[in-house]
Amino acid sequence: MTFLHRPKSLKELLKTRHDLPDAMLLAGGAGIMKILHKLEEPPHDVIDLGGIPDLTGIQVGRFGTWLGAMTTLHELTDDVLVRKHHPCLSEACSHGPPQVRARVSIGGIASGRRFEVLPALMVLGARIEYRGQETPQRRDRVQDCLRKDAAKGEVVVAVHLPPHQDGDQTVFRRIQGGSGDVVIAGRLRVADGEVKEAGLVVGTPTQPGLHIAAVEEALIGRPVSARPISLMEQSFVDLDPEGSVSSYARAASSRVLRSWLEHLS
Amino acid sequence: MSTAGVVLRARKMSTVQAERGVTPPIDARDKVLGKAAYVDDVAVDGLQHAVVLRSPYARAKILGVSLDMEADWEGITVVTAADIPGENAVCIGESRDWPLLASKGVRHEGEAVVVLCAPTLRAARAALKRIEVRYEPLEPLLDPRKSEDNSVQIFGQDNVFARTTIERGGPRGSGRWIECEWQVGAQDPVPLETHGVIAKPEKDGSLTLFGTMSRPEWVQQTLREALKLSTVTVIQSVIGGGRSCRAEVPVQLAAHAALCAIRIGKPVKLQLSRTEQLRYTAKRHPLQVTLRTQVDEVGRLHRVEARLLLDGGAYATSSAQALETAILHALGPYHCDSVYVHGVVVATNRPPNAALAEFDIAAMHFCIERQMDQIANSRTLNPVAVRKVNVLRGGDSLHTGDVLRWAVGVEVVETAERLAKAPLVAVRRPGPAKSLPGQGVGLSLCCLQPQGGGAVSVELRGEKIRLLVPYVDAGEGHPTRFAVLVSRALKVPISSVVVRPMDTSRIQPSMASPPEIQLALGRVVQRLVKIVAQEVGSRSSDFARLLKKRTSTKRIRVEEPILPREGLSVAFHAAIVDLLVDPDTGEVTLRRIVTTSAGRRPVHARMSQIELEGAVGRAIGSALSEKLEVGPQGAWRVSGMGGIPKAGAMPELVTEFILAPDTLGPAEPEDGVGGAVLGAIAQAIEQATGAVMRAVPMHPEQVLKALP
Amino acid sequence: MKLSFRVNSKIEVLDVEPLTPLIEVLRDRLALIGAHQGCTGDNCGACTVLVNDVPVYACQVPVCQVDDAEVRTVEGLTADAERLAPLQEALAKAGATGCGFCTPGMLMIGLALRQRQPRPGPEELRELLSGNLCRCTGYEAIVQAMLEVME
Repeated sequence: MTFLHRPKSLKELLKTRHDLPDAMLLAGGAGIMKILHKLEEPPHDVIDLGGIPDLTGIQVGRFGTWLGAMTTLHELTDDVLVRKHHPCLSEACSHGPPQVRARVSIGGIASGRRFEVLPALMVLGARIEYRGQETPQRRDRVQDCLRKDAAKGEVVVAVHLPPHQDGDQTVFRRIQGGSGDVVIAGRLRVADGEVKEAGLVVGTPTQPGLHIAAVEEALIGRPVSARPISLMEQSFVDLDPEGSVSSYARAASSRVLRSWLEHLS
Repeated sequence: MSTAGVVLRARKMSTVQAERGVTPPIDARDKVLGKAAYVDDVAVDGLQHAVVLRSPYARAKILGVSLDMEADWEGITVVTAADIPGENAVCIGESRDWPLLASKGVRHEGEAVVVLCAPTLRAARAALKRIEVRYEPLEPLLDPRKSEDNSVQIFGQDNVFARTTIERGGPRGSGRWIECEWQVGAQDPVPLETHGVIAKPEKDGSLTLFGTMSRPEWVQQTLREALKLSTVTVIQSVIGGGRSCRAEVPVQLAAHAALCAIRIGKPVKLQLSRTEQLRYTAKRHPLQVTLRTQVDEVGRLHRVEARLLLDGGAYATSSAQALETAILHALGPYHCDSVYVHGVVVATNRPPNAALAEFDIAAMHFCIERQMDQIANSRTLNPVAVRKVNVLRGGDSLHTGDVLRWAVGVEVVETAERLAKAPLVAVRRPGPAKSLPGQGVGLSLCCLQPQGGGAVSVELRGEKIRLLVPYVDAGEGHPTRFAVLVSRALKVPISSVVVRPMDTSRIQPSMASPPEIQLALGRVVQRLVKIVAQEVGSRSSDFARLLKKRTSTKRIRVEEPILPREGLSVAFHAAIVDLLVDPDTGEVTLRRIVTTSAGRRPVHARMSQIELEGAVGRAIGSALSEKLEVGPQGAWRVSGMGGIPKAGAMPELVTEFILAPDTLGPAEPEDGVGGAVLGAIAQAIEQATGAVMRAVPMHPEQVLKALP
Repeated sequence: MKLSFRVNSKIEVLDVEPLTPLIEVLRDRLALIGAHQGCTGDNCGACTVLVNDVPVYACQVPVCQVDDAEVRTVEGLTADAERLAPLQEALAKAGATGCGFCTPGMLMIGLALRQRQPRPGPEELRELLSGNLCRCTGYEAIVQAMLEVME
């Protein structure tokens, strides 16, 4: 027997979450059946996030972009401003069937670790906003969130993206590989005709992993004048202890980056 | 001498509107209304649900089966091998080595050990967890090469299910030898509906089976031998695709459902989950081929030596038939007088594979087509020219000794070349910016053995004409073609022709092919016209007029045997593929596939065309997107249904049919097109990048690895 | 939980477990068998229905998410079996049904795309059908039939 809870406001949600820390959260619901199949018993409590206005909406401004946790991939690709300021994210959200994109939420992605969109969020330096009734509001980088679970009683409220800067260029590729899809998201910061920063994230179905090797390989052989290249501050996270980023993903991503750099020069 | 083909019609993508007025499939209305009854759509009173407990090991002894006596077993029925009254074997033709349920040991992961049924599916699944099977695992044999070596024995004396050798003409002294190895991994036909069956005990002690079974005679034979059931009626449900894969596995499934149904005296349904379907059901035999060819300076074949190794999996089932198909197509559409072909199917501890003609033919063509490309490379010849030099001509004999009475390989490829000159539809699939274009050609020949057997009947009931035809349709639309043929012959509206689905209480099953059935239908309607004319005392052959004169309401039934066609039925195909390859990632973007196909005059050209487009799609799926990996215990680890390409991955399709003289045994124009497409895709990748693709599938990983 | 929603314009009130997949409720409780279960979430699309005009996989939607919503299934496309809806008519006429297992899902995604503004062009339509598999036809006939109706 499962009990369904339907908070109508953020305040109500935080209280419910606090009272029922083991309850399952139901966001867009696109992944819930797969989770249920793995459970021995259905959950006792489910909190439906579908009716909370505080979790919806897209705001693009001078200080960056705020995406309510319940914003769907469909809404993200349809949004003109997101497309203009964060084409990489827009592109990442445009893949997949409409039946899924209409339901997957950006908050669900951030906590559910869907590999298709995470690389884009990571390469753009996104932060996830958590709220809890008894914990202070915090905004953590996506890669840090991936290493640990949210504290009990906390919920993802929004995803923040830093503002787009002049000279930022991004690339997004999704490749249907034989051993699963490979997602490549890259960002370069170019100033005075030189690449100042480069970051590349490779996502595979097992784990997204920032893949520094690809960046290094791509830069080998570039003219010295291209220095100094400082990798983006958050450019490396070791999420790939078991080598889940396949040799194919490494090779393909470094070649994509190399071609991109060649194209720029 | 070759017989010139007749171009039926050229058709580009955007001319579907011009196709208005063609007869829609007779079952289309039910299907668009969502009313077509697949197994899972049928409501049956008191229906019980069965599930199967499967082995987690590839090879193990079974030490015992025990139930958790703490659990509540009320309403649950458990069946093991000990409950089988007769021979514990699934009858696949002559083959009897596959047990209904494993008893002493298991030979593949996913092998059925216990069947149980319960009032709900949920209860049945929960009960599965309360059964313990104790195993003593043994070292499995998963590699067909090792099986061939016979270092570990798992079947008979030599691990061999079937072996064939053909030798014609002796070795020749002249020409250069080229030797290559080619591989085609397994392929899953990926029907959209999983296999399912309902077994229903009748009051008279007989049993009715309803479901996705395309070989009812095997079901009947199995239940006769294993369950001692003499009266079994098999009725086909509407089937969700994949006719050829509905042969072997559904027989075992039917027996499982029947075992439960007989035991409890209630109807029982057993439908595979998608996971069971993907992991454990029969695939096309993984194929390894070594081809040695001796050619002269123009690339003409002087001698061909082919060694084929097929992985049969744990049980023989229809492996011999798969080998026969591979051997028959070992030289593809090419001619050579001096041939040595040796093929062997070996046992491994993998789920049993099955004969799947469409994919078997395509797999062999990939190998021979790739060999033709390497012949061209080794002599720096034009690959199309090498094919034209060697392609079969009318009057040539195949390596099997069958003489081709017609062949239009050259015309087929030249028509494709002409069509491929049209500019590409520019907006279609631009591909990544850096991509390199490539164009490849492939040929294929489809040979079908004469079968015949059984009979067709027509029944005149008032104004309705009912056809009883021994054919199990899974969506290929042959019933529509039968109805069209009869309505045309009798000049009656198609709405007055009814085609009954397969039902063994009314129709005797047969292996006859659709063209053979069509010929028999042609004869039977002529007889019907004569009988009605006689009845109304007229000499007219105008059936509509005769019908108007007819006052009697007596039902007339006429039966006509289905005769095997003389010799092989064949169809020729050429495919020209335009694609892009991204040299950074190895991604392949298809832009256009032109196919030209020579076969019999289609009864329903539009339907043949759609069937052909479907076959091209399946070839694309197995070439580029299918993902079959072998798990640690040998069963398939399949992610998704990649054997079916997504709509967005489909290129522009241009198809053209060339008519062969109908009296000389041509096959349907869509039969066997997949081989040409597989070969053409591989050649186009090579043309674009220089990467020699040696195996199917050709995922980005393999393309990137093969880059020079 | 008590749940009320409209299915093909008819109000249904049911007592169900909130996480039951919508497809089970449609097929087992309401006898609407048109939506098929072809996979278990591998995106075959045979179970596609519309919830408030948005196409979803009925096998992936917990029924609690359709509380108070309007669900449309293939059975609701036409009230009169003698008169097919334009999409149904087009698919049938084009011979685009094949084995028919994907057909109800194709019709529902087609309906959603037809209602969308602006309507998709041929290439976009093919991409938007990426969540509906058809093994019989190679999609060409389906795409052409849908485009014909959308024009």
